[in-house]
Amino acid sequence: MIILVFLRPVLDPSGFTVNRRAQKIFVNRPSYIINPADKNALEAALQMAGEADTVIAVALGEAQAEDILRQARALGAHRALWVNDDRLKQADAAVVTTVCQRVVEQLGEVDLALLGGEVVDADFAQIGPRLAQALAWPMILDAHRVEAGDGVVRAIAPRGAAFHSAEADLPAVITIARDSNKPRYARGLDVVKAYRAEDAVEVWSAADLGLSEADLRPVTERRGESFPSERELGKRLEGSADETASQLAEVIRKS
Amino acid sequence: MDIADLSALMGEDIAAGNYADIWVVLTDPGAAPLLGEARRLADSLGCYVHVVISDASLSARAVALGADKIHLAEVPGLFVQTQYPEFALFPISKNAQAAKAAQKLKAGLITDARNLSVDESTRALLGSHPVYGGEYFLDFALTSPAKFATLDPRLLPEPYADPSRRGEVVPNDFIAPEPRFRDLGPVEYTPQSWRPLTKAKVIVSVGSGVKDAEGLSLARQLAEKLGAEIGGDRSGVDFGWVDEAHLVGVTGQEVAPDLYIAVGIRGDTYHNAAIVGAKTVVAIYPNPEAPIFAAADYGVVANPKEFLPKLIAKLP
Repeated sequence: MIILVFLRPVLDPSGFTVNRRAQKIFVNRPSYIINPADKNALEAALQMAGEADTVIAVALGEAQAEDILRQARALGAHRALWVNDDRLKQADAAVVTTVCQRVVEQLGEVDLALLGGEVVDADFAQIGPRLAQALAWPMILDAHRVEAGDGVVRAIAPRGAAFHSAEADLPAVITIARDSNKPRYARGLDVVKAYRAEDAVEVWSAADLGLSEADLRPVTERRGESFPSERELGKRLEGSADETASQLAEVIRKS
Repeated sequence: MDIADLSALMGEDIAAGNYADIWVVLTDPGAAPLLGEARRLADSLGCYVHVVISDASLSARAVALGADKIHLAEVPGLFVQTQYPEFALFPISKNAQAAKAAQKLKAGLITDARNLSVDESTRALLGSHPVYGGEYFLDFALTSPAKFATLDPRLLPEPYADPSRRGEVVPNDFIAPEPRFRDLGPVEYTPQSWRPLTKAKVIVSVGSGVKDAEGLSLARQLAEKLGAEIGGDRSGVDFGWVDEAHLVGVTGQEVAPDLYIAVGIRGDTYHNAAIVGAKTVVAIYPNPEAPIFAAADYGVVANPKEFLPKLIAKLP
């Protein structure tokens, strides 16, 4: 079985601050991490994969994509594919979907495409359903406990307030819920290996995937960021340390 | 974009001119506020509002709230993609249906869209998508012939109902295809709570401002007195005071306790975005300019190591 996991790099949220007053984002430490829910998707793939199965991590974009693919190799992905093309800088959900679709078609024989159910810093959670539509594959949304074999995939997925068991024929697109598993940590030695090995990440260009200008032309234009109004400051407890301690003890009692 | 490009992009059978009007997918009565939004946009553009519903009993109300044309379909989202809408609005509960329909029509989609408007000269749909729980918004302009957005009806005003409005039911012979997955019925399942803080009622969270082992020990004493769970921000994890599983933040866990006490936490975005669900937030931090005070209901400007012993002494 070939399991493809699509990973999206996101700016490490602990490395930046949003300043509402200045209407700006201050980046203190520009490092990229795997989008948290995509990490759950990778974990689901690694847990599912048996000896004969292959887990392939895919990411597109600039150097940050290569970086998270090395992280994915360190975590246990068997292969990593980096689709690197300058024109992907402006890629919107439709373009990203087309690229993923081509990757799946180029690889052939992919049984499952896994993605995280949410994306923290972009409007890219729509790529799972879009990909299912583009490939004409069935889809299970927000899945937990995914198991596959004998041509079918089975998972637990929310339906209203309850959980149901759902089944679909392979190949299928599955989006993985954020709470569905606890992603593993990479071992130090594996990280070193993944970063040293030159062939840890395979690079594909848009041309390798037969993507045309039209395929790469976004229909969504990014026009920057906007910011909510400043939060009202909370009540500041004033007075001597003893007085504020008493006031705070009262607040705690009431809460 | 010229027409040749467009037909290459769209497939030859679809011409840009076929896309018209505003379509609303109304899956349940709770999504009715979407109609107010559709009416507002339609009035500024001078076009019709079509509503697709699966429950015929909603027709009269949909018309009163602004619908010009009513379509009945078993799966409204699948019906819309056969109709070439220039604009289509779905409730956020149908994000996936909207994404599939948008893909089918090679359309842009803004999910959980805010501040929707239409640029009247280019007919682009403008809107914002919140990220990190609304810490900031990404602003988009959709330029595809069809433009999709999903909206949270809870954030929209209750639309104005005019019982004298007239609308018509447009018949169709659409048959929804069978779903591609099989529902095997309900199962007993509780997601494993590997994120131990998500259900906690009281959380004491530590950050760099607790300074050292002594400060940490004071925070632990406070937690013990309150029967609280211990969490931490990124600095708290980096110092080794709490483990990664107890990280409060966008990449760790989002929490919603009755009481959240931030001890020595500066209040960076990734942290503050994860505590918006807390009922009462208390912050103890030495620097009055720290962003944590904007996220707190009650703030104490103090060095935690000096302040905590006094606080602990006042607690029963």
